[in-house]
Amino acid sequence: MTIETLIQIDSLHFGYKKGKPLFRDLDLELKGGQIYGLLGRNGAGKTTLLRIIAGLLQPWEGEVTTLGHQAFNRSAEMLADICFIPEEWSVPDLDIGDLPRIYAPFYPKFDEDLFWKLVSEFELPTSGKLTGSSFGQKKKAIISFGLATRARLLILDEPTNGLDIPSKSRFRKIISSGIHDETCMLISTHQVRDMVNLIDPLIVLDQGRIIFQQDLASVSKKLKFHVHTGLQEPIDAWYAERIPGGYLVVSENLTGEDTDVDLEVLFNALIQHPERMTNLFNA
Amino acid sequence: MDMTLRIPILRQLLFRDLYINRKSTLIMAGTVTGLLTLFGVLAKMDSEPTTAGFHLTWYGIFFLIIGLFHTGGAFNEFAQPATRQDYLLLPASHIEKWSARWLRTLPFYMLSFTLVYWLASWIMNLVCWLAFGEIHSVFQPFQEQIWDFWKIYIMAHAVFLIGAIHFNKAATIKTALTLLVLQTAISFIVGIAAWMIFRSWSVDESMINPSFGFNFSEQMDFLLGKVGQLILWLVLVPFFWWVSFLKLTEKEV
Repeated sequence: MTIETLIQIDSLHFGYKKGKPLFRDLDLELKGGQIYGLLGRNGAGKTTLLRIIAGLLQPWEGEVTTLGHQAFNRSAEMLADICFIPEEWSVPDLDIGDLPRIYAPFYPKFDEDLFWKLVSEFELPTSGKLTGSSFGQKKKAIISFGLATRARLLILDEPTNGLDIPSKSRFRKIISSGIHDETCMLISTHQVRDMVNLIDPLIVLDQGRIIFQQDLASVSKKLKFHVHTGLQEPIDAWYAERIPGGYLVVSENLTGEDTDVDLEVLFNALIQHPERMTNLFNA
Repeated sequence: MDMTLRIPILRQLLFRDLYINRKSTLIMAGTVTGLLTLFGVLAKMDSEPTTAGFHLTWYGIFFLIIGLFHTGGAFNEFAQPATRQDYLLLPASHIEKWSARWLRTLPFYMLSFTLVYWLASWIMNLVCWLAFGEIHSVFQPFQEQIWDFWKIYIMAHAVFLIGAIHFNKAATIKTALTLLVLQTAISFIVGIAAWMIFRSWSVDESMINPSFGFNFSEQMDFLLGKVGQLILWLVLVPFFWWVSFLKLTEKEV
């Protein structure tokens, strides 16, 4: 069975100011059945890229195809299959029970039983105004609704911001159980530790370019992540980060040893040595 | 652009709008009723004679002011990036989204405001009767002058709807100011052009006793009055609505 391409970006040019492009010739292909993690520094263009994919911004040049549609056309059919949970959102002056009543008819695949199940899993009150709820509760309500739409494309921008520790763990469980071959999730985050064992493959955006797009198995095959005890930085380290009693180290995996990928350390190594990393993975 | 028009989605968009804006609608209706009652009581206290003009004046003022703010704020989601994004991502086609706001701000507003004013006029009369033992004339919605107000509103609506989509914040005020600037600029250009063309003409001779065999003033009255209005209604109003629709299809977050 072939896995469908859900997002196809070819030669994307985009910027907010004339003469100052943010993306130049950006290409990207995202397939079903994956939870992609989109990482990048502040201002790298992560949110902008997510908005372009969702059809909220018009590219200067290039083709952006989302779920088989030209993204900026924002066809109702495409929008009904996208769930975009942005970093900043607003909740209407509604009761949580009003959400399915007001918004579910726009989503043909909306599953109200799933919505209430998720509300219960997130331990949200089943009545009361959303505007009077805490930031975390509002976010959980929006995530519950978004997942209940059963959209094929889930775009989540900093989804764990504002969630308490138990909710983060529930979030990971809920998200990982919601993925199948026809769906694709794209999660942009700075909180990479919240996304451990969830996001794979990884996409890193820097200075308007995608500098890295690999699955974690490839990363683990080519790079070794380990703790080095001692005061001296190991000489074979591509990147080393000081921790109490030693260093967190990334080095080339010459022994074939299988180590757990530390996303934060990997990201820092990528930002510091983009060319070295690119050469390693393209070799 | 997506031109799919599904009646259930259109109905749901209208329901969503009315449900979310129910409080502000009730506040508006209450304010109209309260102010009208106050003006009615003040008029009775001054022992002003009751005229049909009382209701026409207040109906016109309330109808046009509230209507222009209602249309200017038709896309109030655009004021914040977060709400703008939510609205643009709502799974409905461009034509469904535009039609829902057009229906809400035009026929629905005109009919519901007239009904609210009619009810408010009865409440005002009830209060006047309780306080003074006499009432004002009752508001008659089916009269020619009401249609005149509606015509003005339809024209203004077409322009203010463009402003509502184009401007993200304070759309009504910004649209009004833009119109003012445009009007001033056009008047200035037309004035200069007219002066350049007609400066050598004698107004008395050319306008009142034209030498080309017909009454120039009458012809201009006809052209600017009847033909101008026809162009305005049949061409400009639909054209502005179409422009507002195109603006919506191009809206970004």
